[in-house]
Amino acid sequence: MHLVRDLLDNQVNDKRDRKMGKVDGIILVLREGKPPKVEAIELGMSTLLSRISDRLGRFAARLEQRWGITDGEPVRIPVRKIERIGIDVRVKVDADRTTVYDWERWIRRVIIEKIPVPGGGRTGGGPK
Amino acid sequence: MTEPVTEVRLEKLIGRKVHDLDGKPVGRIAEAVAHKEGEEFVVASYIVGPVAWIHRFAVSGLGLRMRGLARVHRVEWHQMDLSDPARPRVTCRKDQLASELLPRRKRGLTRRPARRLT
Amino acid sequence: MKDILKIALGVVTGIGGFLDAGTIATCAQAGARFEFRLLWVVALGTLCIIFLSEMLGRLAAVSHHTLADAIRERFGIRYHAIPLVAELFLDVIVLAAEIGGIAMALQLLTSIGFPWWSMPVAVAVWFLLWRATFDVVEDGVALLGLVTLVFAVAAIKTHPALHDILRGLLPTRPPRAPAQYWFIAVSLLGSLLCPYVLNFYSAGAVEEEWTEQDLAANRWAAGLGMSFGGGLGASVLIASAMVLYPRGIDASTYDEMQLMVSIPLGHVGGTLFAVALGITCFGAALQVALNLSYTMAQAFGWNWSENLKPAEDARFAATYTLAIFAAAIVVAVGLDPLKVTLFAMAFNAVVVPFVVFPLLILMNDEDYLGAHTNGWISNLVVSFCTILAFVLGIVAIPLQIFGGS
Repeated sequence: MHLVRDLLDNQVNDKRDRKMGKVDGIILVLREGKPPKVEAIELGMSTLLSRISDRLGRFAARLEQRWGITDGEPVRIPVRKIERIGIDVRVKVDADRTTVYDWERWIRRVIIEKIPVPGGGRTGGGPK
Repeated sequence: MTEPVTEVRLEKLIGRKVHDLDGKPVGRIAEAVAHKEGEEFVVASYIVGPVAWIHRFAVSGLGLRMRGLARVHRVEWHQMDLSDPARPRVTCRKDQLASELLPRRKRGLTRRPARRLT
Repeated sequence: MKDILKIALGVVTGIGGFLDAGTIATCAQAGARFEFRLLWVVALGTLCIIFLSEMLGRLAAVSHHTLADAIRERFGIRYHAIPLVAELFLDVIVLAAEIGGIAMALQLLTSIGFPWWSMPVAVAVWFLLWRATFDVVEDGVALLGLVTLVFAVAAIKTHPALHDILRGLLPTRPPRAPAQYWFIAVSLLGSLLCPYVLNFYSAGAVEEEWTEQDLAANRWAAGLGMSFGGGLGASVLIASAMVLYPRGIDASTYDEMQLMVSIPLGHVGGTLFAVALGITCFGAALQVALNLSYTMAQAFGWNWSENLKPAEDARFAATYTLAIFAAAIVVAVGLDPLKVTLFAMAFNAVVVPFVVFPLLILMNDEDYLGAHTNGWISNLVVSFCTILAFVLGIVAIPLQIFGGS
C-alpha cells in the first residue's frame, strides 16, 4: 500500500457510507529496532491547514476551541478500523460517535433550521 | 515494559529533504510503502526522489518520465533515521541505496480494485 | 430509447446552459467592435470546451470522482489550495455578474433600477436551490434557456454574408486597437472556459450517477450540445456585428446590446433579449452557486448533493446561501454589472490553467480511468488547452489594464 497515493487526501466514509471527510494526516509510530507502525489516520481542519503552514494549523485549532463548536482536536481513526481502501476509504466507525459532524450539526441548528422555508430533496445519508 | 512512543506525521515528512551519512543530499521523500505484518501495518520503505512532487505529477503515457527526474531511491525502513523528523537522514551513503525508475504504467488495465484491509 | 433521451437532454442542456452574462457580454462586444474578426475565438473556445466536457464526463462516469475531488486526492492540498481559493473568490464574482445580469434584464423590462432587483433575484435563486433537486435545476433551466435561440433568429434575420463569417473563422491581425482586441479575445475565451463550468459538468455527472454505460451518451451530449451552444455564442457575435458595428455602437451597456435583437426583430425582439438575458443568467447563477458548494464540499470531504434536504448537508447548503447573498450585495451597492462581468471573465482566464493542467495528468491515470484513458487526439487537445490556458493566465491582467474598457 502506497500511503500517499492510496490513503492521504482520499475520501473517508463511515460504516454507513456517509462522508466523514478526507484523510488529512497519517500518524506513524517509530519503534526501536522495528519498522514504523502506521498507527492512525487523522481528519481535521487544523491537520489539513498545518500542511500548508504550521501557524495556520495552530490558528485553526485555537479558533475552533474558542468558538466551542468542536474541541479543536482532529479526529483520529486507528488503522485497524479501516475496512477497505479503494475509490474511498471505508472505516468501521459510526461518524455520529465522532466529532466530524460537529460543525455540520452547529450550522444546521444555528442557520439551516432557523430558515422558515422547508428544504426540498430526499432524506437519508446525512448526520443525525 | 512499555516502549516510548514517538509519533511522526507522514504528511509533514513528504517533501522533506533527505541527506546521507556524508551530508550529501539524496532527494526528497515522495512516498511511504507499507505492508501488513501480522495484525499491524508497517512502513517497509520510503521512495526518495530528486523532486518529491514529480510523483504526484508523473504520467507515463505522456513521456514525462524525464531522464534523471524519474530515477528514485528506495530507502528501506531501517535505512531511514527519523529521530529528527524535520531533518530525515539515511544511515548509509547515497551510492549504497537501491535506485529504480518510476514504474512504467501498463495501458489498458482495469481500475485497481478496492482491497479489504481487515 | 433511454440513451437517446439522455443525449437529447444533454444537447438541450448544452444549448440552454451555454450562454451566460459573460458570453453574452464578450460576444456582443466582440461583434460590436471588431465585426466578425473574433469569430475564430468563439470557434476555438467551443472546440476546447467540447473536448474538456467530454473528458470531465468520462472522469466522473468511470471514477465517480468530480474534478475537485480528483485534484485534492491526486495532487494533495498544497497544490489544490491554489485553485481552490482562487475559484471560490472567482465564483462569488461570477455569481455577482450573473445576479447583476438578471437584475439588468429586469431593469430593461420594468425600468426599475437594477440595484433594487438584486435581493429579490438572490432570494429567487436561493429558493430554487433550497427547494429543488438537481434534475429540476438542470433540466428546467436548460429547457427555459432555449429562449436564447432568439439570438440565432436575430442573426439570421440580419442576413450576414457567408464569406464574411468564414473569413471571421480564420485568425487575423486586429485592424486597430490591438490591446482591446486581444483583451476581448482573452475575455471571450475566459467566458467559454469558465472553471465553474468545468467542475459543474463533472459534479453533475456524479449527481446523475453516470457509469461507464453512459460514455457514448456523454460524447454525443458534449459534442452536439456544446456545438449548438457555441453556435448560439457565434449568433450573438454575428447579430452584434451586423447591427451594432455599422452604427458605431460599441455595446458598452446592456441597453446598447438589446438593440442587436430589437432592430432586426422589432419591439418584441427587445423584450425577448431581456427575457433571454434574465433566464440565461438565472440558470448560470444556479450553476455557479451550486458549484461553490460542490467545490468546498469536495475539497474537504463533506456530505454533498443538491438532491439531499439542506438539513442533511448543512455545510453544503450554508455555503451557497452565504455566497448568493454576498454576491447580491455587490450588485445592491450599485456596481455596474457589465463591468463586474468583464472583470470576472478576465479573472477566469487567470484561474483556468490551474484547473485544466491537472486534467492532463488525471485523464492519463489508469487508477481513475481504467481502460478509458485519453487517446492521442484528446491528449493533444488537452495539452493545447493547457498551454493556451497558461498564456491566457499570463496576459489577462496586463491586457485588462491596457485594453479593458
